Amino acid sequence: MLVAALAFALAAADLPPPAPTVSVPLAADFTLKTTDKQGTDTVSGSLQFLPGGEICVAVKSPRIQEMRLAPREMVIYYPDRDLAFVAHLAPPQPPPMLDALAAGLVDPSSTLPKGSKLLDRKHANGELITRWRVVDDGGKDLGEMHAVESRAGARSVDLIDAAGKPQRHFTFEDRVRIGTRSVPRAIVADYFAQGGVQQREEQWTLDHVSRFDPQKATAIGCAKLRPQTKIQTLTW
Amino acid sequence: MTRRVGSSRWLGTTFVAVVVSAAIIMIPEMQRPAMAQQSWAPPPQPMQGQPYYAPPPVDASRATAEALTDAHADTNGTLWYFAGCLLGVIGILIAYVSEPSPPPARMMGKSPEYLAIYTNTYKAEARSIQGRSAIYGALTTVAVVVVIYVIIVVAIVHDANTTYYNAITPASL
Repeated sequence: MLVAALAFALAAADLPPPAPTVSVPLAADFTLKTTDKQGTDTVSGSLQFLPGGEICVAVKSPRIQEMRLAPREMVIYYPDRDLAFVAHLAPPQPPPMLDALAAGLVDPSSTLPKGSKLLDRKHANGELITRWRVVDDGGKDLGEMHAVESRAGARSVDLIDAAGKPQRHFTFEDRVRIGTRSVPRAIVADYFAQGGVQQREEQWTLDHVSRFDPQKATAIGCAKLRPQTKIQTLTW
Repeated sequence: MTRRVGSSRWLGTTFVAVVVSAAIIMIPEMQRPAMAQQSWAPPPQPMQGQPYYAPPPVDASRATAEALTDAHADTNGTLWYFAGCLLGVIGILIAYVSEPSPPPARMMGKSPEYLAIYTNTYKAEARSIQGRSAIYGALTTVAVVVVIYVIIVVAIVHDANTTYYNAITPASL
């Protein structure tokens, strides 16, 4: 699922989602600071990437909330009101994803459609800088992806539309190795509106990052619904 | 007595009929449903002794404002414009059926009321933008076709009304 990490970003950027899926079991505490025209919001809690490709999020502040993101279902649960919103997803809808986090866990080039072409590749200051022409299976030019990668993993990824305007800009810092994966603990995601105007910035900070072992640890924040839980269908 | 209707008059009548029909069909479609839900009227007051279940107004207005902003930013109108150009009515239908979804990260830490209002407004507005763009695309194609059609008809009518005289030369007498 995480190689499909940029699924939403690519879909939103009118780029086709990548095909292969992989899961990375890990757990972390997080703080998400979102800045947009309305101001700044800070959300904190803990999250887990489960082996089956699910993501569970337990939000502790500013409001207790549990989210379970599965490839074909999303559940948002409010324990204090025993109220759940459930959304069912069907193809071709991309799976719900925390794209900024997921983008930092995968090889950027693995997210591209098969028709994409490497335009430029160079090494500078110990970093690999690549520029890709993103071309869908029908041969349509969708824009470019620029990636800067160090030995530890991607440092930045830019998605640029066909008109040359920025759509997404991700930076990944402070990486730590968890098993075979390199996990960034400081992520900044800038989202741009059509025409290249900056719309929103997300700053993710991860603490206590560890490998999640379902045999030893209990998944939290996975929105376990009870028979008496009030369920509201969410059109997604 | 027979009345002969000219091609230009028939063309004019047809054009007016097409424009009026298109306006009747499309004007309701081009309404912005999210904005249509807004009202200047004060919110309804709870009745005496009755609980008031409406969401807090600040949260609701913020959810609406953010959903509208995000829908505008996320929706690619150009793509749907070309879909309308190329696919016509089918493109418009796809634009109104296809429902874009907001990223889950935007729902984190938000209240149930915010979640419901934001999601509904976002989807309605994004669908409206898609539909409008597709309609503009289809209208562009229709306009181009009409212009080409008019040019052809005018050329034919002009040719039909032109009287050609054979040159009379002394040699032919």
